[in-house]
Amino acid sequence: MKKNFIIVLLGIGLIIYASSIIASRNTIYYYTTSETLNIELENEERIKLGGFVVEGTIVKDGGFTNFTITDGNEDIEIIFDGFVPELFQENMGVILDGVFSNDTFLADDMLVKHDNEYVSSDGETYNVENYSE
Amino acid sequence: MIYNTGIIFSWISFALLVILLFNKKEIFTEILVRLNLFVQVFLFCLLEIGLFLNDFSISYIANYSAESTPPLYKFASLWGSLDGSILLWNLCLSFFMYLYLKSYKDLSSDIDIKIFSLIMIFFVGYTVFSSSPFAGCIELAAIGCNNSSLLPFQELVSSNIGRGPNPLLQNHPLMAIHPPMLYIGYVGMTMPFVAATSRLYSKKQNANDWIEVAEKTTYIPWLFLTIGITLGAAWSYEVLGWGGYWAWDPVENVSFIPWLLATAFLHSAKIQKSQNTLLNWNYILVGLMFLSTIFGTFVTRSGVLISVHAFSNGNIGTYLLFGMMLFGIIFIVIGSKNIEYFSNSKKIENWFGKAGFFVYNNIFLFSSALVIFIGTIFPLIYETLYDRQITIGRSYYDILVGPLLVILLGLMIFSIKLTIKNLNINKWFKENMILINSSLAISILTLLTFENSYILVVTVAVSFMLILITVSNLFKNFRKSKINKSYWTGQIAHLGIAIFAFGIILNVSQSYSTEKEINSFEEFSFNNQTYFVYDSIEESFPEKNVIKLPISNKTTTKFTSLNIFNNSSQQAISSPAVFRTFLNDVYITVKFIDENSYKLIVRNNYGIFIMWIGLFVSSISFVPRLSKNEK
Repeated sequence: MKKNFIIVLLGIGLIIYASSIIASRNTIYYYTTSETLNIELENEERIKLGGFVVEGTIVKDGGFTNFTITDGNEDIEIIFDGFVPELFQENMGVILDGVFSNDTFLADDMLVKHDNEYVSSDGETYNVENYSE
Repeated sequence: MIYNTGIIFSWISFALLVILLFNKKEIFTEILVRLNLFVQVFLFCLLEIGLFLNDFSISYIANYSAESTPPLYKFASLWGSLDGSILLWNLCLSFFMYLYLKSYKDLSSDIDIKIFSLIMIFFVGYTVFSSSPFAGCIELAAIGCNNSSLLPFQELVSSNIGRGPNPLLQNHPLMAIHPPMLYIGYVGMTMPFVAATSRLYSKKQNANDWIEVAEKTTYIPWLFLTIGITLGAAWSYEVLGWGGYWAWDPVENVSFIPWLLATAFLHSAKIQKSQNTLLNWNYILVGLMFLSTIFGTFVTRSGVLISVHAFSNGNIGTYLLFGMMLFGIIFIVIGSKNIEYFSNSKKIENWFGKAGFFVYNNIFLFSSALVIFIGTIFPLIYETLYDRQITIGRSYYDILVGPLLVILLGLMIFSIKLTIKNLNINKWFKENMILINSSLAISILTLLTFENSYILVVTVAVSFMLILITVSNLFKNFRKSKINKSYWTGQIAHLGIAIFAFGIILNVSQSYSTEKEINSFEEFSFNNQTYFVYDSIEESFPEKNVIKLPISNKTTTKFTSLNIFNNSSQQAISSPAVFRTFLNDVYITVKFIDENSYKLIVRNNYGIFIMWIGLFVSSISFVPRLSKNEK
């Protein structure tokens, strides 16, 4: 009984250890919009940038989708050329992949945070202002 | 009117449950359970009536329904968001409590109904104290309601137009069925939890009877969970133009974790019944199943997904965490009181017999659940520790869960002929030599036809072994009445999973996609087929505008469409045109429309139809169980 218990605990420990290692190797890191003020980027260096889509800024321009994202303190304009996920909407959290060109961020890949909850157009479910600490 | 009645009856339901918890007279138990079910049905109908009458003085209705919403989606709006879905949750819970009382109740004590009512008090308490779908609107927003009151007889304000449900939820009738299926699955997991804790609490002579009840009561929610997850996958693939069916995102993960645990339990419960072993492990599984459903609600509803910092904004997160702790403690206390009983658990002697195989099965199912759990909470822990947001890439799950599932598939091959005694591997190989060889031959054929990788070849070989062996077994032995019917339930479920595995490995390893820019009345070629694009058609409905784009290959014409909903954010939802053959789908969605020119995304998705067949087969596995002569 005791021996089995130790084996089970060891097994679970091993799985937790192994999956945390693998998880940390498969993470997607991203900068928040405020963090980009303080980082040094090489020319054309690809980064991931995360933030919330600011209400009323989504504009379709030819094949591009332009919008602004924010973390509550710092806004950055995005020019997006890529597949816009169906869930994409105002006030939603997105992670973009691309490069900075002056002060605009040119992105061609987007991850959205899928949530069951309807994020209403006046931001009822969460509040962008409350988000930044 | 509806607002006052709704709130007062929520209180009544709460009061009934508290009385039930402290009630000492057995004759009242059934009356109270019936009354509670009646009140919950009444509350459900009441909110539906409110939705159909467009009573926008109720905050929930103003925010999640609109006058122009079509009837079916009005009906489904009830579970379109958190507060309403808790109402449905409570209805399911009271129904299961009634079912439990009628079919599974421990006749010697009332403790099971008391634990049940404690769990229900917890969920009904949320609608009474924290946030109710009947809350009246006291402050208007631009559209919908901004602030609401939980107390009856307040002065209400009413907006004249509702905000309408999330466009995603309005797109297809499947969306109306998918969440209730999942809820029935989630909520049903309460029954085995109650069965295990109550029966071990009252410690009887025949202590092992908890496992019988727990197993029976797990099967129903397991079935609904299977159907619910399948419908969710079908909905995101066939209706929403996501092109995918499963994204390993937290919302999906937390529905998969209870499913894996319940699957493990359905297996290990069987050997406890026949060999009186794994007692403690089964008890732990039952507890984890129940807690994982609350954990799922916590993850999806508390806002931790947006950021750990969003967690403090809502109160349901804290409430659910408190509930998890409370029920966790109850579970541990009752468990620790039964250490003596658990130590009666027999040692497993035959590691190549039924017991041994079921232990392996449990190890791999539980490991998968654990891996998925870690993947789900890893970003939360990381953000708490380093104050930096991350997400986990898909590759994490592919690396870890993929192989585990292939091993499980391999284990299933042996399931057709397991007895208490050790399996004679040599004899088994001799008996199935032809089938094993032909499945190896098939996997070599796939090497020639498809772009190959070793994981494809291994999975194809294993899944065909399982398919062939199960089918031949079905043909040979299905008529034999000696065999227990639940055996066939298992076999059919395994067959479905084998077919599914073949489909999914084709899909994962073979699919590709491309973008096409094209004008009206032009054609493009893809995968050796020509597709002709017509001019787009615009249709208007009260709640939405639909732009349809007909596309045809030589034989059929299909539509891909953009749905643009009124009174919601301007983002359109696209539906795909799917040209389906047995082996692959050509899946076309519109990304962008400008006058007569279109940007299309064209995908070649393999194996989808095969996957659906597999899931369907698994879902109908309950049929043999219905038959009467089950022992």
